[in-house]
Amino acid sequence: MTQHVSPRLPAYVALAAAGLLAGLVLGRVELVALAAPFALAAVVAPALARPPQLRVALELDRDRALESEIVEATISLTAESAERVDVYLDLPPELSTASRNPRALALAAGEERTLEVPLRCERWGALVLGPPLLRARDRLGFYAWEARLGDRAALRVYPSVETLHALLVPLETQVFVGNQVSRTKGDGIEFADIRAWAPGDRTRRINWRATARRGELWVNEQSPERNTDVVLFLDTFTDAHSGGRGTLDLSVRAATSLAHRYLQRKDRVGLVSFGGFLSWLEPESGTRQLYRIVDSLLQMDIVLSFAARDVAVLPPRSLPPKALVVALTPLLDPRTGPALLDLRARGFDLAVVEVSPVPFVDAGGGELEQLSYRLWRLSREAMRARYLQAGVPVVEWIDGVPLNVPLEEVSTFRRYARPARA
Amino acid sequence: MTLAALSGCAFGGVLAYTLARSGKAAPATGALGGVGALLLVLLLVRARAELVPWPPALLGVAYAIELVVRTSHVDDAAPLVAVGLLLCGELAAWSIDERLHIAAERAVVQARAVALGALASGSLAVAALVVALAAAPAGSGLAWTIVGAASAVGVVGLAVGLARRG
Repeated sequence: MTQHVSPRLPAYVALAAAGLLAGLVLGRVELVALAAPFALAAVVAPALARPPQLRVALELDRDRALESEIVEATISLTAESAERVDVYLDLPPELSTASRNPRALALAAGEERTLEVPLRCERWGALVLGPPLLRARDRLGFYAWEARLGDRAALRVYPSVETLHALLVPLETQVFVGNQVSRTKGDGIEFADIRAWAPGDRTRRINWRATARRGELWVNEQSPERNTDVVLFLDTFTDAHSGGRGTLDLSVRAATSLAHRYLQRKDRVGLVSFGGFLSWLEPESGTRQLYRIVDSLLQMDIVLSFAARDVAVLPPRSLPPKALVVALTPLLDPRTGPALLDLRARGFDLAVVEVSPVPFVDAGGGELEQLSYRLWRLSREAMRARYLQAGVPVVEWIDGVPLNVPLEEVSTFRRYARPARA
Repeated sequence: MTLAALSGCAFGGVLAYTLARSGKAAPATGALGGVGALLLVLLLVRARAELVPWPPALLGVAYAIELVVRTSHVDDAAPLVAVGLLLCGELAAWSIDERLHIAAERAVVQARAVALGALASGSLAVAALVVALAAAPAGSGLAWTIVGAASAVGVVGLAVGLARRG
C-alpha cells in the first residue's frame, strides 16, 4: 500500500521546533508550552500509526444483466486492524448506484465486513469493475495508506430488446427450412398458384374445383417455407451523441432487437461493423449466434480512422448471396454512402435505416450557424434521394420513435418498388 | 460546517485573548491575527489542506510578539492558548476531510472525536506541566540550555525526517 503523510505533520513538527527555539532564545516558557501540543501530535501520530493489513474481495451476484436491471456488488473486507477505511468502488458511467459510495468504516482486529452496493445498469456495455480503491487512515488523519486491492469483476450489460411486431421480409429466401414463405414454388403449405397437371404430379395436389371448371386436370402449387439470411450492417465510422445517448447507442439497440427477432424465426443472422475498426460475424442461426452477436455489439465503439474503406475488404462469406442487408447508419461519414450503393450495385437486397443524428445536433443560435444547419439538413435530404433513385429504401429513425415505425416504412416502400436485376 | 465553525471559534478565542492583552503591540498582533483569520477562511472555503498550519502559526507569532512586548510574569493561560491553536488546525483539517463526501459510520466519527479530545487533553496536560515546571526552582545554567537546544534540534531533525518520508 502507498503511504501518504499529511502535510500537517511536518508542519506541526516545524511549529514545535520553532516554538522551542523561540522559547529558548527569548527565554519565554509560554512559547515552549505553545509548542508542546504540536510536539505531542508529532510524536504520538507516528508512534500509533500502523500500516493496515487488509484483504478485499469483490463479487457480483451475476455476470450478465439487462439494461435497467439491478446487480448486487459485494465487497468483503477483512483487516488485522484499521481505525478508518474508506472504500470506493469506481463505477463506469454505464453503472450508477443509489447507495453510499465511497463510504468510511472502522474495522476491529480480525473483523470481517461485507458491503452491499446495488448497481443499476444504465447502459449496455462490456464492463469491468474494481478493484476497489481502499484508503486506510489513522484516527487523526495524519497517515493514510492507499491501494487498489482485490480482483476485478466483469459484467456484461445487454441492451434491452424492443418488441418488434413485424420484420423486413427479404426478397429472396435461402434453401433451408424456416418460417418465411418463399416467393418460389415447391413443396410447402401455403397456396401459391394452380397449373395444368403434368406427369408425375401427385393426385392429392389436384384442384378438383378448377379441374371441373376447365375440363382438364389442374393441380395446386405451394410456396415452401424457407429461412433467410440477414446481415446487420452497422456504420461505426462516427456517431453523434449528446446526454449519454447517441446514434451508435441506438444502432446497437436496433441491431440487438433485429438479431433477436430474426433468430427467433430460425433465420441466419450475420453482423458487419463497418468503420474505423472492421469486424464481422458470418450468418449463423441459433441462440449461440445471438450471444455472439450481442457480445460483438457490446464491443462496438467508434474508432477514428482516415483509411478508405469499401465493401471489397469484407470476406465474401460475411455477405452471402440473396441476403437481406439492413444497414443501420447515421449517414454522417462520406465513406458509408458509396459502400452501401456498392452493395446495392452488387445485387444485395438492401434497406437503410438512417439512425437520425438530428436530435443530437445543436442547431446553434447565430444566423450563420442556422444557415449551416439548414444546409446540412438539405444535404442529407439529397443523400436520401440518391438512395431512393438507386431503389434502396431509406427511412429516418429518430430517437424515441419505436423501431417498428421505420421497419414498416421500409416494408411499405418495398411493397411498391422492386429491385431491378442487372 | 460545524467543524469549520468550531475551528473558527478556537481561532477567534485565542485571537481575542491575544488582542485583549496586547496593549502597545495590538497593531502588530491584530495584523497577524487578521491575516491568519483570512487564511483560515480561505482554506476552509477552498478546502486547501496544505494551508492548515498557517493560521495557528501566524496566531502563535502574534501571541509571541505580545509576550515579548509585555515582558511581565509567566502567562498561566499559555496551555489553553496552545490547545486552542492545535484545535483550530485539527478542526479545520477535519472539516476539509468531510468535504470529500465520504459517508462515514458513526463509529468512525466518534473515534476521531475521541482521538482529538484525547490529543487536546494530553496537550493541555503537557503544556500545563511545562508551565508548572518553569515555576519550579530547578536552577539554570549551561546544562539546561544545552538540554533545551538538544531537544529543539531533535524536533527539527524529526521534522526533516518526516518531510522526507512524506
